[in-house]
Amino acid sequence: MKFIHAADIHLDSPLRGLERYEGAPVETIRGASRQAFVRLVDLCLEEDIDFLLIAGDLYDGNWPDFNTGLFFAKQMSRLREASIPVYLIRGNHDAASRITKQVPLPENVHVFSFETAQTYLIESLKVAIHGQSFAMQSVTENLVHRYPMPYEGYFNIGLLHTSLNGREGHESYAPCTVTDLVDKGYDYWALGHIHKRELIYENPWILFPGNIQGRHIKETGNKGCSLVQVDEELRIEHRSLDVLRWDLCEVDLSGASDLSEVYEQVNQAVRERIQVADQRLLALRIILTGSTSVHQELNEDIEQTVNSIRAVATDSSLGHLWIEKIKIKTRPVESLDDLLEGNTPLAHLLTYIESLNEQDALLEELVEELKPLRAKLPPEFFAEENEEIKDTSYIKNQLKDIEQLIISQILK
Amino acid sequence: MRIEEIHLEAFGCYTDYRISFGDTNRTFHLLYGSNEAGKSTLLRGLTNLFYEIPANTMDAFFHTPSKLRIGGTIQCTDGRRCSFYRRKGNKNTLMFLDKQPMEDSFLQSFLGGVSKEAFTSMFALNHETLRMGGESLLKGGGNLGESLFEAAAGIHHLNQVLLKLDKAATNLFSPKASKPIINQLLSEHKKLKEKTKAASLSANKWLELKKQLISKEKELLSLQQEIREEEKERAKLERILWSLPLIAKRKTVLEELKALGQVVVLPKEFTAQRLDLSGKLALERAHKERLLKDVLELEQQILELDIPQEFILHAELIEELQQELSSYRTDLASVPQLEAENRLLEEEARNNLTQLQYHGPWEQLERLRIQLFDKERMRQLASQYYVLEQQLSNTEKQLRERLEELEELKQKREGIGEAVNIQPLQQAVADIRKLGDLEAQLEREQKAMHSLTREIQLEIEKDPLWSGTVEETERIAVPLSETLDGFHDQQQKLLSEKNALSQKIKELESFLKEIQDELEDMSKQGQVPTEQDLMQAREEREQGWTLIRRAWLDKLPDLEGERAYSPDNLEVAYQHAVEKADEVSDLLRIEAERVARYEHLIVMLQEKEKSLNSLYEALETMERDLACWTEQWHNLWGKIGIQPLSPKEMKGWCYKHAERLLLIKQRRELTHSFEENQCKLEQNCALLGSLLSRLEPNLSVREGSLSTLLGQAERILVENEKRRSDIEHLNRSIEEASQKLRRAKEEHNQAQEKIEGWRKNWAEAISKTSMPETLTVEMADQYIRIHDELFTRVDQQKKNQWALEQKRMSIQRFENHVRELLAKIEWNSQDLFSIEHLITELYAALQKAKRDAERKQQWFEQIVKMKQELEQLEENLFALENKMRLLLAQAGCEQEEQLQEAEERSKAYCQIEQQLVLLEQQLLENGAGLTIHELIKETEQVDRDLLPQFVKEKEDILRIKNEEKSHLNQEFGVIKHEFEKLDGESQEALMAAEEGETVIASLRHESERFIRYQLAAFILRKAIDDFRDKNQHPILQRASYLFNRLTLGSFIGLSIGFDSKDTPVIVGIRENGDEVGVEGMSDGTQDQLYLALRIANVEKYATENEPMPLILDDILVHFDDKRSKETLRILAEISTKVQVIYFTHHEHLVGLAKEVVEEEILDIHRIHHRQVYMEIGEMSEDKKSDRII
Repeated sequence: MKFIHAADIHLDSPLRGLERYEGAPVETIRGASRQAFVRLVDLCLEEDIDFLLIAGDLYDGNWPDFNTGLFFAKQMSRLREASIPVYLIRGNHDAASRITKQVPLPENVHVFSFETAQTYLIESLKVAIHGQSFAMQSVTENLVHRYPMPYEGYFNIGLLHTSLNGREGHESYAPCTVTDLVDKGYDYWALGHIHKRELIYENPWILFPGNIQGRHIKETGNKGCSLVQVDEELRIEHRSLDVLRWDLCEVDLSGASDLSEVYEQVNQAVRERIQVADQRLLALRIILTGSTSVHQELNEDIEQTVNSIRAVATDSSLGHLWIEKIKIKTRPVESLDDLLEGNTPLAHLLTYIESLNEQDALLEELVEELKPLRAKLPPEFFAEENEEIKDTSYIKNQLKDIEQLIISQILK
Repeated sequence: MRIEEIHLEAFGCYTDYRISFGDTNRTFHLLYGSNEAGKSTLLRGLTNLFYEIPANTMDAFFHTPSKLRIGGTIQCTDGRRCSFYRRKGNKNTLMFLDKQPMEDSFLQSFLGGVSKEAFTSMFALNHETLRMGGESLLKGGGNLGESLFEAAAGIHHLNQVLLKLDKAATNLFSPKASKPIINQLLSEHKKLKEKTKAASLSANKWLELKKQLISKEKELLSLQQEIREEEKERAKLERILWSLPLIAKRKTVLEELKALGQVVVLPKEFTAQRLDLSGKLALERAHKERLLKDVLELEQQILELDIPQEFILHAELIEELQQELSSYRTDLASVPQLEAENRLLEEEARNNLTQLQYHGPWEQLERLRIQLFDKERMRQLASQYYVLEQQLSNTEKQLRERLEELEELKQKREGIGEAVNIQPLQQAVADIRKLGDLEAQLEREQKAMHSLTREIQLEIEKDPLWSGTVEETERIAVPLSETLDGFHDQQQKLLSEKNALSQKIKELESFLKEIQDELEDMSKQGQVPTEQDLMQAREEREQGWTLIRRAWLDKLPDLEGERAYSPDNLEVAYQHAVEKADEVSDLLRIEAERVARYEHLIVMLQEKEKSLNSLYEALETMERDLACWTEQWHNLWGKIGIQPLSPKEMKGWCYKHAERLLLIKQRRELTHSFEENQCKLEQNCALLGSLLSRLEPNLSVREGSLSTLLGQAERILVENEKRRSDIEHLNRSIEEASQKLRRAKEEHNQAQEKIEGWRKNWAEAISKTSMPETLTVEMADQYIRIHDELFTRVDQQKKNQWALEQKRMSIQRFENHVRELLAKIEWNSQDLFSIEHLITELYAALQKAKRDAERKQQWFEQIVKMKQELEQLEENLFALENKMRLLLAQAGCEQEEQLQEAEERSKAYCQIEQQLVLLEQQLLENGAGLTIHELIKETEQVDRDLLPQFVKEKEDILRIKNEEKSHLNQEFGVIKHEFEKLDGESQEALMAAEEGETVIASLRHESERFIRYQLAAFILRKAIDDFRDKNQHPILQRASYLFNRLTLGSFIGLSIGFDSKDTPVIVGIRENGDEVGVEGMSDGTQDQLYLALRIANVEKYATENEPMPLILDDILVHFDDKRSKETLRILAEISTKVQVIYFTHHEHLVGLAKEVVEEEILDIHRIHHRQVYMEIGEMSEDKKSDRII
């Protein structure tokens, strides 16, 4: 028996945080989640699997385009042609989606009810698949208790959208513990909701396959589905499906003494990342760190630096790269503490900036300064991975950068 | 911290260069150097010493980067000192003097933690930074916070930084604008969001569409059903309408068929068979008749034909004769022609004979014929004759010419005389030539001798020290050069020693004078007490005391002693003595310094006087030595009677004298050579004269010079040479001419012999022929030509005669043959004269007979063929007639003629039946599967008249329904297309959303930038205000005071004013209380304001921190002298707190500084790197370091 376990497709969810620039490979990543999904269907056909499991979050909750549903149905028809059944539960996003209920699905697609836990049997394989969809976006009940007892003589699979007992960066839905799952007596728990692949338990097997396509810089690394083969023993194999891979590239510039060396190091590091990504298109965040003598030079004109670094990285990428962001987190060789010595005005300035951390009233004033901008920004700006710009802690985080900016301008 | 020494060991243009600020009292260091003196390098060196040598230093052009070294000694206010060096490198660049590495932090502790930036911006100032500071003040409108802050930090562009940050922020975002980047991005995002929404497909829309599609499809189906029913009805009506006439027609045909009755139906091909058969029969019958007729005709013709058989028998003979007939005709014609030709030839031959003078009989003519061999021989001889004849005449002519030539040459040879012997003369001339032009040389030597003599004379006369003859001059014994050098050195030594002594004496004298003056001064200021005075006073006191003790205690007054002691009372005197001793003692204590100085001077005076005296003695000795030297010198020269000058001059004179001697020697050599040459000339003249007179006795040789004689001798030599060569040439010519003559004679004789031989041959040849013996060569040719003509004709005539006879014979033979033939065929020959005609006729008759025989044969053959054909025809006819009989039987007829009628009936029957079948077929084909009977029945049920009306009605209904259907179809198509389009492949909304995300990403990026700029500007402003609040008063107060002084009172000070935005700004206060903003001040005043603020800051820093040296680089360039002086004064004042190092190019500043700065604190250094490293090579090691400034 052979099946594929996938989850969190988030079909037609656009990639976030990729700023366009000249030379960016725009065409390649167009409809990346669709491309990845087509790859999933291709893989099902190639591997000639017995069935496909989708553990929730097929759609993106607030996505309005019905085309997405139709596209899904069309892809499912391809599996119908090959007589591959599909079992899916609705996750929190699907529950919120306006598309979910309306899309006419081909008969090979089996959607679990949200009213009660259900079981589908595949007699030819002696497989029992249990599951329950989310009725609404926020399910706080432990659904495992509702799942039926395992079928004797069958390979029991539980399909569940859950955050277990909580996972960082993910809303807590359908909470349950690993013990709950183990105790249920199923052979395999096909979980969804957590976007990072994670094998929770072996025998019985509890697995989050991760999403099939990373959508922003916080979803780095290899994304895809899990191919499960059950003979005498059970084997799980991860298969990459992502069109574009998100990655971080930290370059320690401690040894660099001039810009050409900086470029050389960036070039080297980027090449390494591309190599690791198996020549796949990369969305890369480059973070320059280390205490370096070129610190001042890098910070004098940040735009210029960012453009140069991006050009260097792009040159070495052969079109396999989209620079998501370049962060300059270097430090000067001589620490600014030297400047703090004595009663120099510069020392006064630095001390003043340092003291801001403690002066809540002043920080509030700074927050107020940003109010006109905040008022204009659209709600999408504040989605998931964006930091809030309306509290003092944000301002505090910015103080180091601001200090750097002032010093680089004054010392220029 | 203060700098005690800078040591540029290897840096820029400097090598081992030291500047020492060691004197701690001197705190104002003025470093002066002209342009290019290396002032800037020195400045850089200072910074580099404290804060590393940069990687891309510009000071590594003279020394390699790894060799760069700067050293220094610095001291802190707490007394700590540090001497160290810095090299160029990445780490561990500092070291102590003993080369041990030094930690950076150690140096930092001396610098009070001042960073490089702070050092260069706060404690180093040049006129550019001053100017920029001034300008920056102006741009900032004198903003108090900024001004103070800037002046304090040494940052001039703070205002620009603020503006830049503001501008950067506004360029990114402005709440009400549309152009800034963020605003643009926001509007772009809004548009994309709308686009996403518009491009999205809603579930309801899709469901609605699906519903529509299904209902339309249903509607369409029911309509189609209706149309089908109507079409069925219409088809039935149309069928009836169409089948009605067919059914009627069928009825008629059936009746016609009935009317025809019993008919034998013949097969279709019957008529054709019959027609074919009767046609063939008729043809065969006609053919048979024609053949019979032809056979009869041919048989008749054969009977009529008559052929003469004897002609055919002799056919060969007749044909032969016919062939020969043409040659017979030719022969007949050629006989008379030949006869005439023969006659003509005979006539011409006879003429030839007459020419040859032959009169013998014609028959013996053959005797005249000359044989071919003889004829050829005659011709050969004749041609030889002409050649021989020519040869003979040629040789005769040559012989004559040779004789004449020989005669002429002999006469010429006799004309020239004999050559003479010139060998001795030749030898003599060659010898003389070898010697060259003796006369010219003699003349040159004579001239040179004269000029030399005169020069020597002059030289001797010109000499001031010596006079005498040339010979005397030669004989003078001049002292050796070494002797002179010895005297010179001795004299120099003596003189220099004497000078040194005099110098020392002079110095000592002036020093003594100084001491004496000082002593005098001291004495004038009051008596200087000495130890001696004190002792004397004490002794006096002691003496008084002794006297008093004796008088008062011992009661034994020593009156004598008392009197001697003092004229006054003892107690008074003693009191005086005590007072005096105390006084002296006090004086000594009070003026201890003066006393010490006085005593020191006295001692020094004595010492110096002593050394002066010893110097005087040494000088005297020296002068004696000099006198002794002079005497020896004069003695040396006196021997040769010369009053000598100085040794150096005398050495010069000696050179001159040596040159003179050289001239004299030259003259002597010249005289000798002159005399020798004179002698040679005379000898040669005599020799040449004697030789010439021997050759040409009449030549006058006595008076001639050597060159004239040489000319004569050479002329004679040339003439003689020419004659000798002429004679030789002529002798050779005569010899050649005689030989040629001999050869000519021989040739002539040979020619004569040949011609004799020929004549004999000729006579012999003629005698062998019939030719007359007298015949000459010229005539022989003519004779032979006529002879040949004659015999050509004779031979031709003979040939013609033979041919004539042949012809006549063949004519006769032919005629005989003819006669024989005629007899054989019994031809009735009228005459034989028309023999030609006869033959032709015979031949024609023969031909005819032959043709007739042939034709007869052909006819026979034709008859045989025809008969065979007839037999075949009979057979065919029988077969055809049998077939005809069969046809008749088939049609049931007796006669052939009845057949046609039978055929026609059968045909009519078939046609009608065919019509019937066709009709029924039509009915069945279009009858929609009904039988004919059913069709007929169907027609019977309808009203036939209304039928077309019904059909039309049905068609109208159908048209309407079809239109409806097409419309419905269209609608369905549109909906279907729209629905099919929604296949989920559309990514329009997705693309807009993706694009929206990229805009959000840009927004995030630009917002971050905006926030940084916005907050940076905000915080910077806040920090400046804060700084102003904290530092305003002390600095402004001090700056106000300094500004007042720097502007020489033009402003009484500074104060705080407010600008239009109520921001506090700095203003200057005039004496009358007017406030002047920075914008109202002149450039110079702005500079001074900035300088005042800077100095105030530095001073403030120094009070709170370890003071740093203030390094100024020509900041006074734009100040007038008065303000410069005041500035220097202020700098001198603050130098007590902060070490001031002032660099300048301008020499006049040195003067100004000397004027206004107290000597004790001013420390002037002159820098010049070039001089330094130029001199280093020449100096010894220990001196190098002392010779820097």
